[in-house]
Amino acid sequence: MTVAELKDFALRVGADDIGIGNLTRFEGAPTEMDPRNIYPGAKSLIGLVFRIPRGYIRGIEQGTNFYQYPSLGYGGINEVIAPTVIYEVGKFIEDQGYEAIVYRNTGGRSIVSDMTGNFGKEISPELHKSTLNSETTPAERSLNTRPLFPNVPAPDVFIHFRLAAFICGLGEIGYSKMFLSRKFGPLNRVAFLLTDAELESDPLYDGTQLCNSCMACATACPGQCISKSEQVAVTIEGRRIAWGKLDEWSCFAYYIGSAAKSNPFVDEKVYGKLKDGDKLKTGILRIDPDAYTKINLEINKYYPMETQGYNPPKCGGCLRACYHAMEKRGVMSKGFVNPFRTMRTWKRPLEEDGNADS
Amino acid sequence: MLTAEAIKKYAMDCGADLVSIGTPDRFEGTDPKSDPRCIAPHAKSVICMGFRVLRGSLRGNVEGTQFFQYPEMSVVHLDEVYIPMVLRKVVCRIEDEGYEAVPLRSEPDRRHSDDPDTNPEKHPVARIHAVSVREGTPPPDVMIDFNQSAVLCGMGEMGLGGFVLTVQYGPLQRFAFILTDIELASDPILERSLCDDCGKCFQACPGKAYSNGTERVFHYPDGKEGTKFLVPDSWQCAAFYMGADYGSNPFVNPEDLMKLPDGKRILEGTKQFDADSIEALQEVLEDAYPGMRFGYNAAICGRACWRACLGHLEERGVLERSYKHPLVRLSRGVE
Repeated sequence: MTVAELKDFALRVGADDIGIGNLTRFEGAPTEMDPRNIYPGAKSLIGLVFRIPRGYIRGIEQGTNFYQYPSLGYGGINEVIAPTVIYEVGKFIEDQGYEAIVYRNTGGRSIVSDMTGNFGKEISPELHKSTLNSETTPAERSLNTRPLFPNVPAPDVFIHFRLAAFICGLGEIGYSKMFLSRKFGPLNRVAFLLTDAELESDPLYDGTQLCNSCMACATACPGQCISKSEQVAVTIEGRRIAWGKLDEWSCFAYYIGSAAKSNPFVDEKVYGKLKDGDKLKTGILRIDPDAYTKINLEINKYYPMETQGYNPPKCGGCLRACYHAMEKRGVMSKGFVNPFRTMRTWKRPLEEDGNADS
Repeated sequence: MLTAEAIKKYAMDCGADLVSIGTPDRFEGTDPKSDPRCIAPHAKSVICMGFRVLRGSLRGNVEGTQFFQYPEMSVVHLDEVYIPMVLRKVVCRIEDEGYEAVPLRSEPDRRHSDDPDTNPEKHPVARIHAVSVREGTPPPDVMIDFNQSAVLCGMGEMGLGGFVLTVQYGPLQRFAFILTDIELASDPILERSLCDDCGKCFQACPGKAYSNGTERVFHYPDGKEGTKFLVPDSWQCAAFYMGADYGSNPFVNPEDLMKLPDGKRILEGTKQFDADSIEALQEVLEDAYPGMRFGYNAAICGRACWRACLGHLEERGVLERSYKHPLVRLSRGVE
């Protein structure tokens, strides 16, 4: 099995980009997030990129349809397409006598939250479960767990998807902390395979600068969740990777549409029921886990999760702003005939503006 | 005219890894509740498709480091996404020729209330009641026995542990079937040759589910002497599949197990589970490690029986396929 054969096969069965990462690039990663701890015999990490077609976010950009993106861009890719493709690629690898350790999006099963880095049980912004009275509540995405053997981390060992995609040479980490694919910018999802086959790895991405820290992402966030001044950095194979410090719990809350100007569905009266509702409504309230749970219960009533359990984003701020900025600069290899953004971004009219839809 | 060879090629092109064909008359003597002829009386052929379980999907269970990928990728994704897609394509191909094709995917949670067994992969206590709607037919749902059916289609042999072994993948596959009125050349039924009755599957079970198992005989339709096999105590199997063994379940809190009736015996591993006790257990286990999509259970035991069997088959070199490295734990720690 040559690398070229493997890549050709993966692209033929549905991946949109593929890269191979040397596992030594995980040196220094927390032990619970180091794929070498899933299988010490692994020699290579194969990263597959699945594009989110630009049309999936058109409805949100226009402010007219919010369901297609979470259902197809999250659920459809994470739950159907990516698992099918990594299964096919896994078959190809195991046909050569090597083991294929498939690693699909897990929805969070680690002792470390992939969203906040905290240890132990923590609720998630993306995952929800229904209660008997049809309310949705956040589901836990991290676990209390113990190692089964000495010197082995507690399961589930979790691969940091965005950094792993960088490690596979598929693009950059943007200032927003989103993974920016060299082909599709922020419009991507990823899945992985570990294998004991020793495959020649791709270099870290060193092409056209994808993120120029333009801050479009931070500016567009309806909850001001990305710091413009404070950064978080890691070093991978000597390369410093930095992104704006993210206020995760606030991101969770504004992602589901807590800022009224970004949420066409919410009844403005709900803010009267919530503590500091006026600040929440305008996106200046900082959120903690307790507050998030209460906010989630109220805000999500007006536009529930999609059928596979994913929470529809009613912000779309950072992703769309980043995509627009990258498209204008022409730094993605995948281009379109017509530009993505053709008019000013929308804001929901509010009661205090005097022109709200009553 | 669609031939057996053409259907097999088409199914494999669509994603099946194995295809074999049997005839309905091979099911003579089968309880009507699991006889495919009660579903499709006009069927002339039974097509069995095998879908491999990637060995790598079990690696996390072997190393004790990742418990999500096996049940999600090799149970849920196969049964709910991949197999239905392939089934539909093959069914459509047959129906394009003017023959009817009845798909039979797994139905893990449709057992009758008088069925003494359960399925560890789904909520084990869900039961239905039904009455026959036509004289001479059993009440719905008629559910074929996938293991028996696979063997009767010539897919593989019945191992001592009650699961099917194929020369290609050992125990690592899942099945789906099509009943059709097209008459196709059938494959011969395979006798036991891969399984050497080593009993490693019994020893590997963390719940000792085979200790209270039921001995059964696989009957060959041509009257040859039957093959004995053991079916594990299905409630014990279900409990330990979900992680009743504290020693091999890294997620569960021992204090939560102790709060259950017979908690001490559960922690000691001596508790014998039944339908009632498993419901309370499941709640504790699911709180510690949530279930999978579509209501499937987590597989904390990681199919220890299959893994032990596969290791033995690979060691003996009786499978057509081989791997560069064995399926043994490489983690740096010591037990």
